[in-house]
Amino acid sequence: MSQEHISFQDISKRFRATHALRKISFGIRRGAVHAVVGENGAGKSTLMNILCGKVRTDEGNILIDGKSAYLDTPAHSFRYGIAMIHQELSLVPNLTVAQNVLLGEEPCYRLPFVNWAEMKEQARIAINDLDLHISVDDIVATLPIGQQQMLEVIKALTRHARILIMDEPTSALSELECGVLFRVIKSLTTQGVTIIFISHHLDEIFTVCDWVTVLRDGQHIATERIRNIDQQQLVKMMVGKSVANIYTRQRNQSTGHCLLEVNRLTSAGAYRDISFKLHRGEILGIFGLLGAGKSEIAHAIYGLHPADEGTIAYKGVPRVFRGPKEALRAGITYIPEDRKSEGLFLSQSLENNIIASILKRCSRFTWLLQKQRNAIAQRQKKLLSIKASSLQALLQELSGGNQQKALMGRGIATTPTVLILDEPTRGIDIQSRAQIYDSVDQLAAQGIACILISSDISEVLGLSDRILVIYQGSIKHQVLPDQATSEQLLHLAMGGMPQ
Amino acid sequence: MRVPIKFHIHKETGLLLILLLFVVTLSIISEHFFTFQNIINIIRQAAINGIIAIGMTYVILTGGIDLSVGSILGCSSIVAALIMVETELVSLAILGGVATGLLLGFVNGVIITKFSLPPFITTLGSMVLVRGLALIVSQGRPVSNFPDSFRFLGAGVIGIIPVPVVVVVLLFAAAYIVLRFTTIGRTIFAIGTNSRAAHIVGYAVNRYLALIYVFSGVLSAFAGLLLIGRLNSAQPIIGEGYELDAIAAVVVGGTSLFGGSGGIGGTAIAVLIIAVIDNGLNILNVSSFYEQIVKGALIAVALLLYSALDRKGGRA
Amino acid sequence: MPGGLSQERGIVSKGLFALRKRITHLNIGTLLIGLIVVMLIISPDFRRGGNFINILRQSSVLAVVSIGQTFTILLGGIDLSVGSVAAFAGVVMAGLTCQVEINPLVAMAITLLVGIFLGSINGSLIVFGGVPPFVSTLSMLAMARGLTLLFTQGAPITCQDPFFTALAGKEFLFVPISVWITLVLAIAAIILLQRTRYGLHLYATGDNYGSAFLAGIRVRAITFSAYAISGGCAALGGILLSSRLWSAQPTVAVGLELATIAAVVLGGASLFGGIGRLHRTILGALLFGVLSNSMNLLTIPAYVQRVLRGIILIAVVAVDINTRRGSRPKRRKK
Repeated sequence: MSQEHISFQDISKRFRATHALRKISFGIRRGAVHAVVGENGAGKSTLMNILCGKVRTDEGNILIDGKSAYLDTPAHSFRYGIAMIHQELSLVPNLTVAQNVLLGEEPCYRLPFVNWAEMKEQARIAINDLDLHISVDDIVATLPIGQQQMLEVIKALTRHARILIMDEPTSALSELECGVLFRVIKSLTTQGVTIIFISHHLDEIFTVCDWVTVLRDGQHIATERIRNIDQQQLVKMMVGKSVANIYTRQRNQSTGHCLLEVNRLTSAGAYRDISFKLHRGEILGIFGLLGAGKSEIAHAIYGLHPADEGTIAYKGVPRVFRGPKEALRAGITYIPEDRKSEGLFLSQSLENNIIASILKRCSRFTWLLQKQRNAIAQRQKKLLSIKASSLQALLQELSGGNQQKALMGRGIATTPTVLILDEPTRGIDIQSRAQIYDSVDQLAAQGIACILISSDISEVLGLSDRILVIYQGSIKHQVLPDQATSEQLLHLAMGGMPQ
Repeated sequence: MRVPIKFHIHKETGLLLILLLFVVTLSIISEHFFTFQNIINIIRQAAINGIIAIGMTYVILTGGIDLSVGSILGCSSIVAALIMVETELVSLAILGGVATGLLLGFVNGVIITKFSLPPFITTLGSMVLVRGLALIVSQGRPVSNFPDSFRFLGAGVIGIIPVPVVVVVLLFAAAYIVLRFTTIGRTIFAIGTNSRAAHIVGYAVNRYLALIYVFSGVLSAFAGLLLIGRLNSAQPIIGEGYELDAIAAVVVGGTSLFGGSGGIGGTAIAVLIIAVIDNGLNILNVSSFYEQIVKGALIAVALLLYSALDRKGGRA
Repeated sequence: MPGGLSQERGIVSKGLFALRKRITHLNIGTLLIGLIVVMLIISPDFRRGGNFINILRQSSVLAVVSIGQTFTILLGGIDLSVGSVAAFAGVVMAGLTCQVEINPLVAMAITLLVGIFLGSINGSLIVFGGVPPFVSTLSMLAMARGLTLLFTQGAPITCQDPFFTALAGKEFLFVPISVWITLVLAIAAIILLQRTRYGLHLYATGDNYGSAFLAGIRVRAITFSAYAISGGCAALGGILLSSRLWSAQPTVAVGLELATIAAVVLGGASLFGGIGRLHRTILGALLFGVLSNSMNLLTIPAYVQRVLRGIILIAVVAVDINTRRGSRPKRRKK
């Protein structure tokens, strides 16, 4: 028992109707690198937020060093030595490395004068402790992202963190930088620092971690020593047996004529050599993990960021769209992945959001036709069963699921020929999911060609006619959903070899 | 009536109540206040600031700002006045004035969109620059004595109603309708709310932004024509400080400086409130030195209330 | 800021790239030195010793007020009220010295406190009232000007108290006292910003408010103090200005806010906060001084001078922004 640094006991958390966590119990040993894995929505981030004091538990206890800990606010949690390295870094970009590392804890000659030499020295010592080579005088914004991540670690350590939570720490790192990170992690554990490692990459987990805990649908599935299991077993535990019956789609076997042909599309640093064909009435799944380069491909087709090389032929004619406007006019619609920053106008009404892309159709000589506008919005609201007090309700008042449905409605309202859906169900409830799947199914039945970009395995398997697996920017494999299991798909997307 | 923003209702009715409060109080205090002549007078005095504030509302709704309106007003007035005096062609003079405003607004728009300079800096620079142009063109001398046909815009009367009153009412009505009932209005709100999303849903964001600054420039030029018509003289320093008056009217009217929320209605009421306060102080024989203090306090109080309202709304 | 059209921007930045390579080190210092060297060569009047003193004397007001403005802009804020506060301070100083007839040193202290107080009102509106800096200081711009007009009833207060007029008129070691004051203030401010915790925390707050808060910095206190400092500097500028004019005039310093913002921005500060150096602000103010002095000596008409000033402001910032682009992520305003 003395070896357990953190121990979760019967942790439960509900968000309204959904059980985010149910009776989670497991322990984490001191000085261990402990992976927490699970699919999107399995409850990893909720559990970590509880540990950081950002979310409170409904039930259960957390013991730290064997004693019950009160983690009500981030400040409390900090006092127990818990620090989280976020995916979005919290550095101050235009200050130097030394200034960032010791921000808020500057050494002073005598208040208020900062002892810069001492400050640099302390920062240098902290950096040297981890055997890193970062100049303390560099401006943080000019550092590569990997070094910025290291700085976060150093910053946490100088504030006496004993438990580091790393959320997808390698997502923006090059292979070389990953190597450095893993070395740092190893050296930290010898100093008794406990590391909770959240990752989607199997290789990494098996390289650096000692233990792994699998969560699924808010439940604790297993906690195992890494050396006692293999990759296949781990994937199996993550995916589980149950496949929800929200996928009712009948596969489209006959292929219509080709609408979109992408040939050797390449963009430096994002994707390379992407080629595929998209047919009428088909749903093409593009599956890959976070940061695999899926969205960037969609952006190229939609004209947001032109590719460096390669061609796109639409209805048999080579086209380069110079902007979303041209793509929309041609009949290609893109539903962006980040509904808050790229998709919606949150402080505007539901109606205005739905008709945003089809103002021309709702107007005559720029004059908005109220009836038409209303009718179109009403139709989408009904079609997708968007729950809102009225069409005039502001979008920020709706739930995430309904916001996503509004975004979907806006896409459908453009009556596209090709519809690109980028993560259409991220972070929304099961009911809204089912409704969105249903409408995608209907669209395909009407002959619309859909590209479904997703990192949700069951969604891709349940909905697509064909699946392209993307790994690190290139098409790794093409699979038919009937001939693949979730395990195989995940395995491929994590860089595994096809069997 | 459809209202795109929820707080907007509170803000506009609130403003209307404040206006009403001032009007009623002043009517009780002074019998000279609530007369037809005086009310018309108030609107006439509000006309110049009102016209500029229309363009400013559009600009601020997109999340920008235009500090050059006062200078553009000055420069285009001078150009119009010089053409008038030189050629004695009224239509050419008006055309020349408006074209000047259009061109200067276009320059603002191009610099902001093509070089992605912050609107604040761009229009600050053009404010200084354009004032210099006005002084060069006029050689620092006022241009005076225009024919009545040219002065009609500023000093003419239709029936018993002064032309500026008619003009400003029509412009506000048009601007309101465009913002509320046309695709242009929808696009402006969309850009101000989330310019990235506006680009993705297929709006020509940069073209719209440039056009908004052109619009602001044209309105400033037009306000200038009214002003020199009334004064029967165009001074090269005319319109100095007008940018801050217009911005004050827009923010008191409830339009957010961050863009995407607000509207023309609030601006119209705020312009009236400011004019009523001026007029009231005048009628009550209060030193005009209080004018600025009251105006400043009005801005602070209005914004404090909005901020409190927003916070309350945010929690609910 | 417009959303995208990366293509068009690409063309622009490609065009600028050639230019950029040549002028990577175009900063305010080189610009200033270049201008001075050119003037030294072509204008004999510029070389006279008295001329330099003159430039310094004339730049001191702008420099002092710009120092305060730098604090607010480093926070990503702005202070539009400095011109009005300066005018009001001039009135308070001249009024206390020559009408109330108290000790001029005491009068000066009181005036500075009044400036700090007005700045604190700005700070309170921003920090506690949640009013955006642009609007809260705009309201102070109107109110302070109104107070000035009210106190003076629109007429200037002339004051020939020897202490009062000596501030800008008398020289110490061949340099006007006002320039010495500016120098001392500048050094103090540079030390405050570059050598103390306060300065570091100010930069951090302006750069990334959220991260600064998470690091335990008292972001609200920092914000409040910046506006108080700006108010104090504006008051000092007002004192020096009225001393130079031998009178407090209610309508002076109109538009000073925009001149100070221009000086700060010319010095390379970002209006989004977190970037900027105080000594470069002072060089920015000095550039304006040398520029108008040179243009006067070259008998460039005053009107053309304005046009040139506007063009220089836009051009310098355009070059600055386009050379800096890409080195840091774009962020939304707070």
